[in-house]
Amino acid sequence: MPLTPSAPLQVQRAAQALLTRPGTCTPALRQAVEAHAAALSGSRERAAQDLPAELIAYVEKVALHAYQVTDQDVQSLKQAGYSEDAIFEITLCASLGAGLARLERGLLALAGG
Amino acid sequence: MRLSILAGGHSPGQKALLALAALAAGGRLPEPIRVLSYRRELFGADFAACVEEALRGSQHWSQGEAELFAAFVSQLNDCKYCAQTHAAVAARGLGDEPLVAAVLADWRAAPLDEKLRAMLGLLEQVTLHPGALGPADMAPLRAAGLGDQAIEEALYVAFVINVMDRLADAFDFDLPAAAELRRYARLAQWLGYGTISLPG
Repeated sequence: MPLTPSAPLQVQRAAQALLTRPGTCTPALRQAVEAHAAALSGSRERAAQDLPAELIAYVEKVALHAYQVTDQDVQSLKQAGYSEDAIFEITLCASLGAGLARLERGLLALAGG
Repeated sequence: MRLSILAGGHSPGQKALLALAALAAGGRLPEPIRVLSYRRELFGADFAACVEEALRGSQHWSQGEAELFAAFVSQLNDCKYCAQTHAAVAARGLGDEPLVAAVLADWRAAPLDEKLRAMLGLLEQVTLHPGALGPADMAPLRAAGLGDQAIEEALYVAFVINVMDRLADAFDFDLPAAAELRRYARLAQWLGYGTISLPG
């Protein structure tokens, strides 16, 4: 199957599902995590968000240098009351934001912006 | 794997399929399959389709070249799991393991044609300094004769791999042993990525 124009649609589908379907975290929190990670990754469309304090360090680590995430980081979130399903969703959203911002900036540069 | 739900939290139907997939992979299930199969309606099902399109759907780049981009981006992100696995698939696809090793060691010195060299330059900027990207970054690609579609297709590879690298490191995928790596590379080359999110 040709990549374009189907890929952007598939990307939108993936983002739409992750950020709006019923989950453990509210859609509002998932969208805030994605937007925060995107803002840290150069997005012009999304701004840094007021995340719950206990999430900030983890989301920023996943967005900026995920190889530095430790068992202790995940344990700290559990101790703060986040279930494994919530941590799963937060990690997906932070990762998606970092990826989408790169796609956004790359396509923007290609279009001359 | 840092989350126990990703090791054993799948539905009963998925567990049966995961066991079959593990057999096909030679014993141990590739960890991206665990992650993208878990609660797949939330993300994995749609994202697996993105990975398939990005790494297997390119009109301009060969599968081996797309895999080389994936390994290169992963190395820039310090993601050992994805760098190793995609490098193995790239080496099979390109039929040139020394070239893949040369790119990962020092891409500027690697014996590449100008199109690939220019593309790697942009992927480095996209991965390491996305906020500084601008139209001027496209000049070397235009000079090398790359059109919009070729650039867009490589940007989609960068997108899916920048997501996947983060999942691999945040969830702490175990590095495959050398023999596993060869099996995974063979499977990825044969089956592609559409099946990395299993229903059930």
